[in-house]
Amino acid sequence: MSYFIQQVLNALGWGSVIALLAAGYTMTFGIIGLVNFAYGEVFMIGAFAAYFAVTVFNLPFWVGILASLIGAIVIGLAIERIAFKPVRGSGMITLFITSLGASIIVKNLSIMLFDDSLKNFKVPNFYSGVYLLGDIIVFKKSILIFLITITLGIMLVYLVKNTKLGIAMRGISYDSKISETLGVNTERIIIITFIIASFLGGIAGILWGMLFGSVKASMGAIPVVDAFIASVIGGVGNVFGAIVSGYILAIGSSLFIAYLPSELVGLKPLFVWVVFFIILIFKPSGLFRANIK
Amino acid sequence: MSIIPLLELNNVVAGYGKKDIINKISIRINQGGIVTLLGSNAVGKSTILKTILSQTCLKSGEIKYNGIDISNLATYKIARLGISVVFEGRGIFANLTTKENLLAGAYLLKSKREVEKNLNRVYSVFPILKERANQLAESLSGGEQEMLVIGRSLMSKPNLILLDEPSLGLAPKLVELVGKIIKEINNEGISILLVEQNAKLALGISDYGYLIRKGEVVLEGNCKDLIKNEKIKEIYLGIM
Repeated sequence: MSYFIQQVLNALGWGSVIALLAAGYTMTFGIIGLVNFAYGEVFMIGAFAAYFAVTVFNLPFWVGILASLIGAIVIGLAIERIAFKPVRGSGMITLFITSLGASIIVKNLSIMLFDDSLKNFKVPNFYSGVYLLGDIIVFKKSILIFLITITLGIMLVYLVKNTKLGIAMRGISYDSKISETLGVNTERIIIITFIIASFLGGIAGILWGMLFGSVKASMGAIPVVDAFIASVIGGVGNVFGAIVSGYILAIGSSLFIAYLPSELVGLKPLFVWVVFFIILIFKPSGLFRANIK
Repeated sequence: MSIIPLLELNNVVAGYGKKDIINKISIRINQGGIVTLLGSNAVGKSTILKTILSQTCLKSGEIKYNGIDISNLATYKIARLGISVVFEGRGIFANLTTKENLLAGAYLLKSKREVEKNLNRVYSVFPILKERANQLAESLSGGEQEMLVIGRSLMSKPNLILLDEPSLGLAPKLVELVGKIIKEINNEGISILLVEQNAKLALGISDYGYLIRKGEVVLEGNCKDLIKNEKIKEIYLGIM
């Protein structure tokens, strides 16, 4: 039993990163039907902005957080304005290709500038250390990351469910033309959505750096795929569903690896895809209610 | 002293892409009036409403609201001037609850108190919506969805409501109820531009009417006169 609990606790940090990315992903996916593969680069730029502030320039950690958020929001909005806005309404295939192109450009530019080696991410001493509960080791940083994510998740779900902005977002997800006839400036709401999603990406970037102690230019590739899968499993446009699904995937993967024979450890990446296909077959709209037409 | 019409279309030509659907349409609605656009299917009635809302391509002519030129103004800006719309086929947000749909209609209101007041007002007109407040809008019946979108259009206290085929798909008793509600709304000072194929309903509740055919106005007049018009009787044989 303690081994099972240990695996669940080990997955909390990774689950939190995926939950935040999935929440941001599903917001843009829901509102403009965009499968945004460039979101991984928003996450990466956020992490790198914090890396430069804290590790390279030795600035206080709170400055690193600020740098991360600014970096992520600037790159997120730049990608939206340059790559997505001109082709909005062109259909899912065009948006998909555009987002892939934006992702490739930003990632490769970053590799050119920073190279793709692992960079040490300096974490304040406060976040280091463990708690011992009998046989179980609980990393301080995992608990902190989990608490930050849950707090943000509660705020985000409240925003989406209970505010004028949230109702406008969900209305646009369903039908933007009707929303406009109610006085909603859909363009402004889309920009706000991208800002919120980029904010979440930036936070996820810092949490990644805290969790793994390093960043690299290609770090966005795998998390963004996991975030995409979590957002679909959670019901497209459903923020609560995306967050829960992020944790389900991370904890599921952790348990999968833990109980797999050592010879089969290479099968780890399969777990999320197997879950994805099972959900698509038996509940294609996702575990929770989707927020789109 | 001449009265500025609340809404006027002057020689409007509009359509989708290269295709013109409406041709030199001129229509006027005065403050407090109910004006109806009559005509059979696919003659351009709904296109007129969508053109007012800048949802089609306006090729020539002008649209004025309270004397202000709103031709090609963004849809959300037109809504902010006090124009609400109820689309054909209802146009509910199926992913939102009944109450959330109504609150979406109050997007432009700044005061929570006003939102609450308008919500209670809508609930008093449509008590069934209060009963179904926490139900998803897609689970409502056709008649309830029609009430929902009419209620939603009232939430922002508009000056003018564009109603597109509100009786479509409704049982006769509900059609009668919709007619009653439209009159009640108008009695509160809200002007109505009504698009309808149901001539009996439309001419029964409206002050002035335009008969549309192939994107053009072929007949217009006070509804009391239009009802007696032989051309109307001929076109709507069996309905009158």
